[in-house]
Amino acid sequence: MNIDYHALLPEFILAGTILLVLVVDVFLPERAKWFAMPIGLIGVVGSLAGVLSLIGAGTRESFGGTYVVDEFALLFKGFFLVTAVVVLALSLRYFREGGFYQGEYYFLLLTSFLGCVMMPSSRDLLLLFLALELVSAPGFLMAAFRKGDVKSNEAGVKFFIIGVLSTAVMLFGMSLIYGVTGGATKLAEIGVALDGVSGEMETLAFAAILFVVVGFAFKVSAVPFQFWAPDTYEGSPVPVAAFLAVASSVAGFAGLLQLMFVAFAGQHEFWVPIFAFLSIATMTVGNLVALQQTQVVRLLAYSGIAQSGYILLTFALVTDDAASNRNAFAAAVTYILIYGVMNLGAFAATVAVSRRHPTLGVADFAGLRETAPVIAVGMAVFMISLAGVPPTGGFWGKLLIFQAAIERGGTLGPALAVVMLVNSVASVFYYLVVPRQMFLRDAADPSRLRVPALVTAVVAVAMVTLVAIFVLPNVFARLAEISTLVGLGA
Amino acid sequence: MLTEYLPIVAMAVLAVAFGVASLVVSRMFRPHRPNPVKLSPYECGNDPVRLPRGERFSVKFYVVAMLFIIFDIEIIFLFPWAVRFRQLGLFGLVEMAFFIGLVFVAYIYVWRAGGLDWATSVEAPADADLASDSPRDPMAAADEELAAAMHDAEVAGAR
Repeated sequence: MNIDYHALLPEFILAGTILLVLVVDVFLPERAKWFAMPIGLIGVVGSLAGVLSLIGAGTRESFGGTYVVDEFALLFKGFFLVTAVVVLALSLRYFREGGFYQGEYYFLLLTSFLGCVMMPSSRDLLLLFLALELVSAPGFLMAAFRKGDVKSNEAGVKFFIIGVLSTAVMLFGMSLIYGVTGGATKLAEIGVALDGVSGEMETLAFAAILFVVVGFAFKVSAVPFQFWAPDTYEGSPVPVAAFLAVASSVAGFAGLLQLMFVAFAGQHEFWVPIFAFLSIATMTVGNLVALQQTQVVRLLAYSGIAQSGYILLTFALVTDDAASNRNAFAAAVTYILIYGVMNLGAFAATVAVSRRHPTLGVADFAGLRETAPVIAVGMAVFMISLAGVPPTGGFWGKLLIFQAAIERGGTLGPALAVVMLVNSVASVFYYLVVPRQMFLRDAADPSRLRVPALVTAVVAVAMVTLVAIFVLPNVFARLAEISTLVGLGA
Repeated sequence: MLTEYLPIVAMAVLAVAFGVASLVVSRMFRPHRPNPVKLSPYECGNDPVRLPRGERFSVKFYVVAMLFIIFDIEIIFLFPWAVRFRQLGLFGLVEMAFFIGLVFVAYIYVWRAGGLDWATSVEAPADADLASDSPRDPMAAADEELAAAMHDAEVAGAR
């Protein structure tokens, strides 16, 4: 049993911070409870420093190869920790002024992020499952954190029941895989073992893969398993909705990428049609329902569902050709990262507006150009980017997926590309609803909106990042190297 | 291969059929003459004191259950470690100290959050001023309300 303590440093720092936050909170007087947030922030930044210290250190294995820190893992760990910084920044004022249990909230949030950070390193079914549960379980509690509001209670209960159901389905699939492969739990070993099964056992293996995919489809809110997402996002505190829409969903994708490209790569002929269906249904339903939304968090929820559809599309592009698979993998990773930036930005702007308009109707954004110019410009950039229109990073993200789909060839690739194009055009209509309110309508109350400095900073940084990605797309050129994960199991 | 499961299917069909048949047959033959005493919930021959619905129980039991799980799991992990203490050596000792430390953090949290205070009810910090307004035990109030409801048929029906 080898343990590479340096490779585990980010997790250790984060875990230590979590314990510290919990203990410090109960000794703080009520007025100083918010102090849990700076402590958490320092811990997350320390953990991020740990991740940075591992860059270029090569692939490092712990616990008999079940926990691997490679470039793929580091990239996602860095992404999750930056997301943690952003969500913490959005949470401070929101939770301090709302009369919440602050220490418990930061404890739960950081615990969820520990699960996120573990996810891309987990190369074993057991660890993958543990990491996924560590992400979800505190999420159930955080979704219900606005205790006095019935909607928040509904959000928590729905998320909990759906989360437990999806976990049960996924776990059943995993147990079948364990049986079919004769006791393999490491992803690479599963890939090798599954290639050797045939006949009835192969049918059983297909059933197992289907169960696991359905379980993850719940987590990433793919249609037809999406119905919990809008209600949960709407009822949750807005920073928690940002966490669920970005970190929790990306953690699901990080797990799914490893499973599909490493463990189940050999069975792609079976699961590519499933993903093609999931992808088309998810983006179409997400976009069509988003067109009718009048509440911004619900709009963002359906937009998130549609975006999940674009990411799921890359899974449907897998073939026998390793080079084409690497393209699809790189496109997925790039899109996930850009999606994270623009969605976090959109939620940050929403947090800013929620201080004056807690119900967050689309009309509440009216006249934001006067009341909060930075937020208004930022929100416009995020909406344009989510729609995939230049000059923003979202454009490159969509272009990469489109390119990968065309290059895959056959009938499926171009067909999916066309569906995606049609969907992107349709999505422009609802994404532009919010900028129209902000710039063409006047606010009922023209006094300046007081936005916390941290929230403004998040919006500004996300906005600059998206424009910078558009100008310098080469930062993502190295992602092709990270996709060495592809083909490990084949 | 599937024929091996035939006895199980037959058993399942028989079990369902027996259950359904018992219900149907007894429904056909039994007399149906209800009165209020017969319809009241059975509590070992005593008069029912509480309505089956809307009954409240103290949230403290939940805290006790959580505490039990924390220490239960601790014991479960301590046993195998104790049995293999010499083989696991110093590494095992350090790991166990680490693990007990984690449980201890949970214990500190419960203690400071008031989970161990049985004299006064566990109140949320945000609701602290609310609690001082009504010093009476909420359980007692709920009981009285329910007892009153039992005597008032209309209210009992409405609940």
